[in-house]
Amino acid sequence: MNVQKRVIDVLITVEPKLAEGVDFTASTTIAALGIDSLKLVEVGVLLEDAFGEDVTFDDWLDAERQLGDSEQAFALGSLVGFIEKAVKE
Amino acid sequence: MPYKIRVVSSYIYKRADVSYADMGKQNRWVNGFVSALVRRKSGMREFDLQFVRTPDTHEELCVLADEFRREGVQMLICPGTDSAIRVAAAVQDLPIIYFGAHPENNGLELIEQRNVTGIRLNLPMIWNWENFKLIKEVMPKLRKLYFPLNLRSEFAFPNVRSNYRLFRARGDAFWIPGDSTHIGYRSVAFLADRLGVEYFEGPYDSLAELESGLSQADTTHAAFTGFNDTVLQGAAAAALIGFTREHNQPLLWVNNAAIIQREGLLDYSSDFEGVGKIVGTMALDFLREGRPFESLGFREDPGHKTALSLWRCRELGLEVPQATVDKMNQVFA
Repeated sequence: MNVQKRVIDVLITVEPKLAEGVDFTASTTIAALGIDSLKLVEVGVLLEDAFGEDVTFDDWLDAERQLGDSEQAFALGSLVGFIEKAVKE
Repeated sequence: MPYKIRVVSSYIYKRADVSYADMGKQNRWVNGFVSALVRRKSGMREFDLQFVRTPDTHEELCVLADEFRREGVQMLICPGTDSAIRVAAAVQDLPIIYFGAHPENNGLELIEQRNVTGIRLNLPMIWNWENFKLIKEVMPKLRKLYFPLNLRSEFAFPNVRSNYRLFRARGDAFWIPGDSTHIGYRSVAFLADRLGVEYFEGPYDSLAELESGLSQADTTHAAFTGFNDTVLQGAAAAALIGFTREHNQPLLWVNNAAIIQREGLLDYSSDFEGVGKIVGTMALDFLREGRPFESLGFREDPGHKTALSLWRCRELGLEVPQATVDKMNQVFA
């Protein structure tokens, strides 16, 4: 399963305008994609559905919150890496 | 056009850093709501969902309701009986879905109002003997159970408030003992009696009164309980938490595992994620499928969850049997 593609598909499902020429990179943040807190809940629900009980989206959110206001917080690369690690374990 | 829903909640806090501010996120009712939308091939893209703190006065609520009408809001969601009662008193036309507890059926007449429906939550700590006796399994030496109660919350229902008024007029003491005719929640007194512990209710009208009342409690083999009414006044929650830390007292809570995770011992919560799923389904049935609001029906509690803090057990010198730990839905190590 291509985790990155699956994550991007979920993001586009939640925010359809992202289908139009958005450059998804590892450093792209959730906020930069215009995903607000409620849509983020939906992202989490869809990702947990997609990847099963190995993935607890809240765990990723808690870890990212530790980064505070860092520009690295809530980046796609981190989310993809988190899911890849979770499904391998 | 997105469906316009406003969540009117008494549990939205100005300060995000206090333990009880995480209640909504921790209990995941919003996750449940969104999950229901996803299951029915919908999503947040179809909703304009905004959160508003319940105003303090009826007049402010009426002004807010007018604003909602001007915006074309189609439905309100009220988490908690306190918010539901206050909003319903100000709004008789906009559909309201609420979820909340009605201890000893108090306040249940709310559902007779045509624009109100929702989910009746059972207070999980006191709903059955199996749940209640967990308290003694965790604290075998417990002898006294204290329940402060916020007189400014709608949980101090009119009949309960009247009874408390009679007791308070005597000026004898702060804590009402379980065998007094002035007890507000007789069912809890019975449970405590069966458990072999003394039970006390402490109605308070101000922070100062709560603090004074707490200082009058006998803390030998005692425990203190907070509820949703406590967190309606942030300072009251902080006072109760601070008191139990200062005096090394066990803190129990109903419907706020976030507090127990950071500060207390044992929480009993409704399955709010399950509640959210029901609310989401009801919202879609009404807004998308066009079902008449009156046909949605009042729903039952989907279940409950318990949470135990093992680190607080260690601090309090409690050795909880593994069989009891295994009963918990969540354990904070």
